[in-house]
Amino acid sequence: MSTTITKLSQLLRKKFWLEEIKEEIEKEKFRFNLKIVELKIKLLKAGSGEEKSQIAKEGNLTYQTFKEKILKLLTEAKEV
Amino acid sequence: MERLRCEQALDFVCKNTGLEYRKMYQTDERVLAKAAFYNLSREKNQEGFFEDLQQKGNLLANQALKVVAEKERGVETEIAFLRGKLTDSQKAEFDQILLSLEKARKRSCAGLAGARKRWELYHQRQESERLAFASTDSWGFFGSLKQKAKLLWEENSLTFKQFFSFFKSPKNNPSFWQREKENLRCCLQSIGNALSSTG
Repeated sequence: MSTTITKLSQLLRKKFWLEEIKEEIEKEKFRFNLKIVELKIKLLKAGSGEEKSQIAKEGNLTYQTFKEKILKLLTEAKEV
Repeated sequence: MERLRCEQALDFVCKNTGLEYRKMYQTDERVLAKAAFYNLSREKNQEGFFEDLQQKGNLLANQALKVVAEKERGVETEIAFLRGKLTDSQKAEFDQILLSLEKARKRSCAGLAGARKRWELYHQRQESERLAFASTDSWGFFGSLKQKAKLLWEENSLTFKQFFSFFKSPKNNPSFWQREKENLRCCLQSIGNALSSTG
């Protein structure tokens, strides 16, 4: 019986850890969308082509950072 | 890579002029090089680039959420199986612990829900700002119009007269059209001058 209890408590920790990860993904998604909208507005107001391409670069960087974070969280989830 | 850029540029031109992709593609291979030259793929609405980026990001996040949710389901199944092995009193105790943990989770999630609400409001505000901006500014519109004209002229697929009549009745917002009529006239005039000066 004690094995069952130990196992259950481990599983509970796993369950809540996975929920934490899910929440973290949601937060990252939220931050990412916010940043993209900001960049879209910035782009509309940008004057020169140079400025626009700078914003596009920033967009790419935002996506890359976001992707890395999500993949890191996924790895964590797989290791749980 | 270069070819992809060219094809994207062609898609843009076809989408905005109503010309058939196949026809353009088959008529003159050189158009690929020209499209790259005018860098239409970049001009291809950088806002669209952000749309794609956003879509890609959301897809990635949703896939990740799905993977985690699947794993979570596996854990829950295992929990349910082991819970079945407990005595009634242990089950009751276990459920009580689970309940208190769930409550604690809900409290921490409330912060996230608030953030989401703020995000929605922010997004709505930004969107209305974007629309207001778009209605007062013709950013990109005439720039791309000029580029399209240049490209079509280079490709000899459209005479200036045809080009003019093509854009004379835009399907776009008529009030916008009315407001920008004078700008367009000047724009077409300058294209006309450029065309006649180069023969």
